[in-house]
Amino acid sequence: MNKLSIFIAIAAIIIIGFFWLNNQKNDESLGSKERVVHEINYAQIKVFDPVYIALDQGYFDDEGLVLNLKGETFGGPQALMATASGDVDAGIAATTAIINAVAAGVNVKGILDVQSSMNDSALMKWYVLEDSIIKNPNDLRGKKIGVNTLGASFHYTVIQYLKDNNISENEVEFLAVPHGNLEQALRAKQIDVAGMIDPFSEIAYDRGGLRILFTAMDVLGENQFSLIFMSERKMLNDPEAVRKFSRAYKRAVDFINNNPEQAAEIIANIFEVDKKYISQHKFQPEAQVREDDINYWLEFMKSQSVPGLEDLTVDGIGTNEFNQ
Amino acid sequence: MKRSFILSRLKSLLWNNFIILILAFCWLLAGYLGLNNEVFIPTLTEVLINTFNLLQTEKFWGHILSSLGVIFSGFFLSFIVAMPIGVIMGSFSRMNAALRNFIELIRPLSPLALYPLFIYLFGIGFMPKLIIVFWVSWIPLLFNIITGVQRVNEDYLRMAKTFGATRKQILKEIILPAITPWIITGMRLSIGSSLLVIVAAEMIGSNSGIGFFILNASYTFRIVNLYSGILVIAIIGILINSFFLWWEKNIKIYNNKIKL
Repeated sequence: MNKLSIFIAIAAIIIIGFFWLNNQKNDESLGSKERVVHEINYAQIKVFDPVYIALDQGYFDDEGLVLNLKGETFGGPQALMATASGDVDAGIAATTAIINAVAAGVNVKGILDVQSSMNDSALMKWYVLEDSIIKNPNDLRGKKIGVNTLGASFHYTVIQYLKDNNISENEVEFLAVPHGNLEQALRAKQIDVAGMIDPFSEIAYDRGGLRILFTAMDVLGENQFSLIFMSERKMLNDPEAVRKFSRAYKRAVDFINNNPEQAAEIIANIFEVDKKYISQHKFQPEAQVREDDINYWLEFMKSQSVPGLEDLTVDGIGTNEFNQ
Repeated sequence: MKRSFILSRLKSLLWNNFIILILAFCWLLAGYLGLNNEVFIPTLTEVLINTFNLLQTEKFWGHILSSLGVIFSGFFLSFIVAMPIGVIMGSFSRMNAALRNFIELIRPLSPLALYPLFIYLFGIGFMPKLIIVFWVSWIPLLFNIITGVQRVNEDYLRMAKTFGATRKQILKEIILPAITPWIITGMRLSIGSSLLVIVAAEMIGSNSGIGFFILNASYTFRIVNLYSGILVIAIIGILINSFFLWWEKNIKIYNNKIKL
């Protein structure tokens, strides 16, 4: 065997070994009989999340569940990726992001309500400058609309709004702008409309010079658009931890419903903003996953020709199994 | 003769791309054996087929041309800024001393760390992307121009002055031709950084560009698209780098012929 052959063989062994080890990690995580530890690694995103309330009030401790907040992701897709890699077990994501992840083979399911547009709590709102010429939907033709991510709740809600008003999405221009930059982009007239959520929406509105063009309630009515998701790995290996998580979470939701001021203060401390910028969030009864709303988003994405959704079903995306 | 030439070229090509071929082979093999994590690592075949299909679409070419447009605009801007400053700094040691420290101060500032500032100053869209490409391009180019000017053969300059050449003539007939290889090298060094930053820059406030395409692919879990975007970036980098290498080589051949 000459030196070249040896080198090739070693290189091949190293690379294949890498893939094999990576695959082993996934196999072990899914099916092996690991010692059950009532612990959940949670990908935190700085949004109004009842998990923060549950931590603050000690609900996880009461359940004997260790909840580890992991890192700080920018959004649901990153949290889902971290779950796919095995680093975390749960997080928050838009229903649309969960659908994309499940379609791509990420083994997760939505298990609890976290963001729903309801009366007095529209959450998703679209703003224009106060002196903007945009007064009604027809004025949106040829305009730039800033949303946090393309292919997600804000984006799709606008498309529905346009459809409802007989405007094609090709008649507007969508730009992906992070939440933190939307207000600035709007005020600098880089975009004409900004889709925002609290605290960004409340901070921007409080500064003045903006008006609300429409809200998610105007377009979708009451609609659940974000869920707490859990990895199937965790649901399979430690269902008791998932139930404990659900129970603590629901207690936190009850706390928020009964003590909105106090809840806002807790969240405001985490965001390091004034409490007045925290919107009132409302939740589905018992924080249940609404199958109708999952179906709505799934069908909407199919109508947008999003690939890979043909075999997906509602019960493959969300479940109330651990929320009984 | 022709056959041995072809074989020799083939051998050279294989050897120069040995590591790439080994990695590609291992990736192919891992896919064939089902060893890859299907969520994060599609097979090489899937990536190649997907890339080929994307290159048939106008939309994908729109993303490529959008990124290239920003890169070449940024390059052009960096050239028109770096060129006069570099020639002045290279020609006059006092100007070099006056400006050098300031340039060394701003040189290590990470362009990606500055990007949020660029957005505040220039808003979202084309401008901050142009500025960030300019930022990473102009300093390597500047230093190459300065070095090139300083390395111009003193004998040529003295001879030109002796024959009564004006400053403009010296610049045009001696300095510019002499520093051309240095400029090309500076551009070649800048291109890798430009590709890096443009991909990151397009992740904010964009709806076009390869960076936007890659980010959107990751957000929507179209992982094979993500790999295709990365592959296309790599190919663009190789093609542009090869072009500059070819240009550099031909300029050197031309200069050597002039010397003879």
